[in-house]
Amino acid sequence: MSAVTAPPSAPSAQTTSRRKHLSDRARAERRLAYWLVAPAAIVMVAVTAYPIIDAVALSLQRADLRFPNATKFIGLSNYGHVLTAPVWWQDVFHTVILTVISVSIQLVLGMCLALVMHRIIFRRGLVRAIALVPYAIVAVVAAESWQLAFSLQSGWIPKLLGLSGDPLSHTFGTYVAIIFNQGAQGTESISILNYNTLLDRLNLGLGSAVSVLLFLLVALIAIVFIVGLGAGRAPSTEAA
Amino acid sequence: MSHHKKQIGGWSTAIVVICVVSLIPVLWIVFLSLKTPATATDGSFIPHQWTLSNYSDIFKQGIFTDALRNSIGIGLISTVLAVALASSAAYAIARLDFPGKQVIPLAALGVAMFPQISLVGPLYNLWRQIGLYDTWPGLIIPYMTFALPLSIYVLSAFFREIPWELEEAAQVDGATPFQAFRKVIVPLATPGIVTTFIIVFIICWNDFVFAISLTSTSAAQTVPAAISSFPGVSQFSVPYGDIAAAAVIVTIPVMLLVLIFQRRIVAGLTAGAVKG
Repeated sequence: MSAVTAPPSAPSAQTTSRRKHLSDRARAERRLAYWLVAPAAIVMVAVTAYPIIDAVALSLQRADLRFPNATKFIGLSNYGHVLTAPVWWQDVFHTVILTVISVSIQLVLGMCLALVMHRIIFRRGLVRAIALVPYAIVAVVAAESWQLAFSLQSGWIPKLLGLSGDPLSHTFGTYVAIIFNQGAQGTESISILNYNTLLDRLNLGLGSAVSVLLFLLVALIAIVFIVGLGAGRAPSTEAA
Repeated sequence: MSHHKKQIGGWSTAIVVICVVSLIPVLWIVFLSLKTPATATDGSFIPHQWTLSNYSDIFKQGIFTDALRNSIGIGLISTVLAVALASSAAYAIARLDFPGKQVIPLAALGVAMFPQISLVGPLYNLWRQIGLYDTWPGLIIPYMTFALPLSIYVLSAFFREIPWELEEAAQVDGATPFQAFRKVIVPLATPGIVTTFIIVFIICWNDFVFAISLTSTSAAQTVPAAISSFPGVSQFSVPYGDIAAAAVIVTIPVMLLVLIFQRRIVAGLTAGAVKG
């Protein structure tokens, strides 16, 4: 992330030595490019840097809004707490399962959908618009309405399928429900855990430790993808 | 001939299935919004008693109309800012040569992959300290920031597709540089910008995490956050009808956008996908 700050600032030593060989035009192009990229880069760094640093700092402290005077530096013990809590590992497991299954299903269904869309001869615009409509529904409402639809007493899905038990009280049923609507209700996933610790339980230190671990997990996955598939380089390879 | 007919039949069936599957969630919410409060939880898909009272209810409550105003204002401002910043960055990435050109998309990818929920806590603290909590800028700043990576990605893919030689060709034909830009480049770039605009707007419009955490009153609460604080008849009853009605109302503008620009959105998504 720090690399983004480099372009708008002064050119590094290496570019200064090369600068003599650049034509005026190339130098002007370079300057224009920095001016164009700078606003977006500065905004991204400015808004994300502070929260990230703050989260890391908080995660090393005992910071609990219920005991504001008891805040002190406690090293890595928040991490110890999180990593030894069964609920953390259970939620990691839920999140991994949900992500893997719903991404695979989305990929396969998406391919089929694209294939069908490609073959449409009549009413192409209408069908495309219909397929895009669910994308526009407010996610919270979709989750809420699906919860109602799946609930045993008052929903239509258990009735339709002839179920006798409440589907949301079983892990498997909830998986199906979540994958179906991408919401999260009965099964706690990591980000919900994060939110609960941070805001509901008012324990900023512990919540921040969860944040940092969550970020490290995502970063790890991202690095695996970028190194493994060269995904990150794709947009720039062609122009280079 | 019959084989050909059978094939058309197969594709048509597939299309019907897609339409039905896409429409069920929408229909369910629409039907829910048309049920009377007493029958909302009766377990039927189609309402037994139809009513429009949920719609008149939510417009009587100030909480919804204020939220609608906030949503439209915050959504539009964030989107305009994000697309403007992203366009200039994407233009530089796609067209100009400069060191660090490879780093920008990577850094953007990093921001895009950062779990937003992790930033909410620190932002909440910071906003309270500097007085941005529960204000329009307090939501516009994070929305704009998190829309930038995707916008830069999609737009730079788009801009790379534009045959920039046309600009020179127009100038050779006697156009001034400004005319060449306005009459040749702008029309070619518009579909990409429109697509990005709509995608970003939908993301801001539907966001719940920032909206619920960084606002508390009607001063800046957007619709998804307001929906979650609709009062039920009692503390333990969820006002499903009102929630569904509000969802239908706020989905309409997005649906109109999608319908008007659907061809461009689809083209935009594939342009991003093929390149990305």
